[in-house]
Amino acid sequence: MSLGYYDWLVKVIVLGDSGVGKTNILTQFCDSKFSQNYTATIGVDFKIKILNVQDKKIKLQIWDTAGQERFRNITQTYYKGAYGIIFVYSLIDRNSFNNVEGWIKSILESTTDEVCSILVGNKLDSQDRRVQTAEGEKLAQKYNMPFIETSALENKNIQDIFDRLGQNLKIRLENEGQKVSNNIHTQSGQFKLNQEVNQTEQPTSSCNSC
Amino acid sequence: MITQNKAILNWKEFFMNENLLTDAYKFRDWNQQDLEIPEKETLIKDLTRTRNDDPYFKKESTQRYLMLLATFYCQQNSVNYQQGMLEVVAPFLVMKNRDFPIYKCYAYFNSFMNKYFPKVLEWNILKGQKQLAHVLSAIQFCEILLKYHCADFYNRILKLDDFNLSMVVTPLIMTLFAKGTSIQLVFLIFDEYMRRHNPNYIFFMVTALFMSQKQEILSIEDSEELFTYLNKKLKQIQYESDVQRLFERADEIYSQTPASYEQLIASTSFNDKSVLSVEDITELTNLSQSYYSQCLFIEVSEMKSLLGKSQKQPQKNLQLQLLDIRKVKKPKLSEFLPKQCITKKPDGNQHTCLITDSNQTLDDAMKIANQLIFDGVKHVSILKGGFQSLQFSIKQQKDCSIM
Repeated sequence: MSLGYYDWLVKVIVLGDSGVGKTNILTQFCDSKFSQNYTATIGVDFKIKILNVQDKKIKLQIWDTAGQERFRNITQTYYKGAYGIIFVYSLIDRNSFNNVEGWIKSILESTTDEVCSILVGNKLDSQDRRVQTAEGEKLAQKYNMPFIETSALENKNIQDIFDRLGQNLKIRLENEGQKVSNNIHTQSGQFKLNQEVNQTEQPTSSCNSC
Repeated sequence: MITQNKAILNWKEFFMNENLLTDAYKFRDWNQQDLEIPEKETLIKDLTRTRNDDPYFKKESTQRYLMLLATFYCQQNSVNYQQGMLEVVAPFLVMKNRDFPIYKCYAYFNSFMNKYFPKVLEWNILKGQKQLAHVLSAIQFCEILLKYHCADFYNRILKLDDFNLSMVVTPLIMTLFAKGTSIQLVFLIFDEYMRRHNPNYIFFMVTALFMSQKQEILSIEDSEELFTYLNKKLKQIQYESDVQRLFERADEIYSQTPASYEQLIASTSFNDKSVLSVEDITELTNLSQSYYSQCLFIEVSEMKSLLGKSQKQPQKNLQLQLLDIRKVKKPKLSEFLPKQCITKKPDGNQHTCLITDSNQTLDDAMKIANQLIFDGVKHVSILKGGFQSLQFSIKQQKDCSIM
């Protein structure tokens, strides 16, 4: 399960109210399926996936969190070191949209460094929309993050979430890498460079010299 | 294997008390009109997410019963709905049949929660930092056991960046091993659990689950692979033999754990009541910041009985050796205690208790204990109150015979 060579290892957390489809988005992205037998996440869950962004491979260590508000005392311990955040609400659940700003603020309070975030409105397949696209766009603009509407059920735009997040991560990581090579002692604890090298495959990335 | 029908007969003895019938009648007489509870919306969302791979739980009538049982429980006990609760309700609902109506399912479920479920529910008035403080304490109780019994394994998982026991322990504690486990095995787990008549047993079960897969875990070098293993494999019990092994191991751990461990849990009111008060939770929060949550501390009374210096018989059959870590080793330990119990180099085959000067040196004692654990020495503890408490207690005891 080593998944081979990668350039960066990045921690990503997925946040949002209970029942908005966080686990289904991840199952669709990581396992290419929509499980009808879904259950509530109690505490946290964990998945791994390698994302190709142009010439780079980013190994995503994805933490799926429980949505029930009171779990925050537990899930908050996983915020530390997160480099990417996916905020999810449900297009058919107005409350989940109203609460998403609370999730964003909880991250702003717990992390000092800038993180790459994306806002996701899920359940695009449903006819019973309660949150308009413009509202999602406006909120995303307010917090300066990309916005996307998806359907985990129909696998619509799921890959796009990670592609867009990946683009921003790459830019950020390359900038960080630049800083690291300028001053090796200031290496950030938030991501790791090329820690796991497949012995049979010679790394070719420019980051090997970082 | 125990089935739902057998469970009805077998579990009656565990649940039977003066409240059982009262609870059953309360539910029977409930008009089922007032369904309001805090976090009702989360409960409703979870109805379709509980065991939905089983056709029985896909039925609307089943989901309504789940909702009624959980709602009435929350109302009667003044607690919030807590995710994971439906996983515990489910086996009790499966017991429902013509001779065992829904109100009896409720009475059994309520009794089970009050007697055996770890106290992870809370008053619905609690907010903010205090939420789930008791779950965090439960996780620490597991960590103390794991550190005590399995130093090498503990060191391995500690080395993982971002690893926190809560990842594995939270669903185990909050659903009592029910999440992801077949309903038949849940009956078996609950049955074995109740036979132990001890709600603290959950901590021994969690530790046993880790230890039963110790070799596999130690053999995985890749961090992410280990995370995945801990996240998936460790959370699931698949076979009846897994349950048997789990309890055998838990029994073994239980027998080799000083009674002081459960005294610590008792001192926090953790299992005294079905629902903790604000004060109880504050006390638990304080515990999590104290030394007592970082290592196992042995009570003087237990040490004396283990070393035959008390009229009381020891509760556990443990071979205890003492390591004197006082800066000034006067008076000598051998003046008070049998020489053969004193060691200069712990080997891990016996239980090693560190003797400190007093509580002021706990920082140093913790460092030494942690170093021993880091070196792979298992069964390391610290004497609560240090040498002075031991000396005082022995002097006080009339029948104490100085060596």
